[in-house]
Amino acid sequence: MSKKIIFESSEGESFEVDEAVALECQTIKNMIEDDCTDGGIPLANVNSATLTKVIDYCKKHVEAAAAAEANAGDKDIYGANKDIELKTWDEEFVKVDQPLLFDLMLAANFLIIPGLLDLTCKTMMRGKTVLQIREIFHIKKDYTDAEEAEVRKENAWAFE
Amino acid sequence: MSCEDKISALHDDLLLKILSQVPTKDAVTTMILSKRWGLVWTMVPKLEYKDTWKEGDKSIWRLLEKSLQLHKAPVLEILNIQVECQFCDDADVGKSLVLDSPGLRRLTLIDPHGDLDSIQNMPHLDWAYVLHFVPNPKDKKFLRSFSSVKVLRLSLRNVECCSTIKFSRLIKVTLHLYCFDDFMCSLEPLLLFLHNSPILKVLEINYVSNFLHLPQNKIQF
Repeated sequence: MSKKIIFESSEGESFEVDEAVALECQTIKNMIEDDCTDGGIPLANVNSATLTKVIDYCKKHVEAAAAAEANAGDKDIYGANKDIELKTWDEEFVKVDQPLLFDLMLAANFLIIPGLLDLTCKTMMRGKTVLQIREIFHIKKDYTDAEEAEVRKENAWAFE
Repeated sequence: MSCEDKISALHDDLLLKILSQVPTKDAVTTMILSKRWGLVWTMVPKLEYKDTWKEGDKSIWRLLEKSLQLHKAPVLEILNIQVECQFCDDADVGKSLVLDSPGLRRLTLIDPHGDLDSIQNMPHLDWAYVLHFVPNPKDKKFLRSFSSVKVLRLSLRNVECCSTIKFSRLIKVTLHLYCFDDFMCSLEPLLLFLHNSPILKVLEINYVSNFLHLPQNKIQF
């Protein structure tokens, strides 16, 4: 049986995962290598809802990597299909509300999961207009009207 | 639901990661969000300019030129320029793009019309993909911009225009040769090209004749 690692969310809830899954997080990998994971790893800035998703992501990617390795001998169109399948899975995975997406990005940044960090960053603003971005993220305009007009005038090329 | 602006409070590193995933034409517009966002886009390590048929025929030259002027180019690592229609307005044709980006590692340049004259100051460029198949008298100067690369993908009309350039660090090259006139391109320039690429390990050649792909030749040294 593989070794288990226990995560503790900000609410104090425990999550038991296989070591292989935990190793997807560079931060945890370093802790495991330094042998300081006994008694569980408290993640004070990751809540249960986010942690559940993070674990789902790591599990899926560990499984996909294992499957890819098993099929490495006969590389053919199926290999490509697997990649597409994982990509589709990733796309579905980030179809969540904005606050959760934001928390996932912070967790991926803190736990150092490069794939998840890229995925969440990509989803954050892509395909949105400045107006939508301002609305979604509640970004307050701190330019005066005159200042804004000045920025727009000086950088007219950017807003053509 | 909270109305707090959490994103503006993020560290620059994360904002830059987010903006790196956005096409440059959209990233530049974030300057108008607030003072916090005014200069963030100028530090993004990856710039991506795409001008596809879908987006109309507006030239992206102005966006490219202006944004590169304001961008803190020394931090630039990846630059992708992809133009399907005309790159420049008539008045801009033949302009050279001067980059002062010592950190630039990867460059993609899809410019079938060959409007760009030369690219300078990329001493650490490792990887380049260049599609440039309309012959131009200044091809040699243009292609010399890529002489420092380790991995090169080139789409060209003939090998002659790059055969005299010394590619001293080149390890892998993929050539897509568009031979409209003759069925095969002559061997001599290719041998000269190989001679000028002393540490080349992999050469891949795709002959594209009348837009029909012929079997690919891959040679390993």
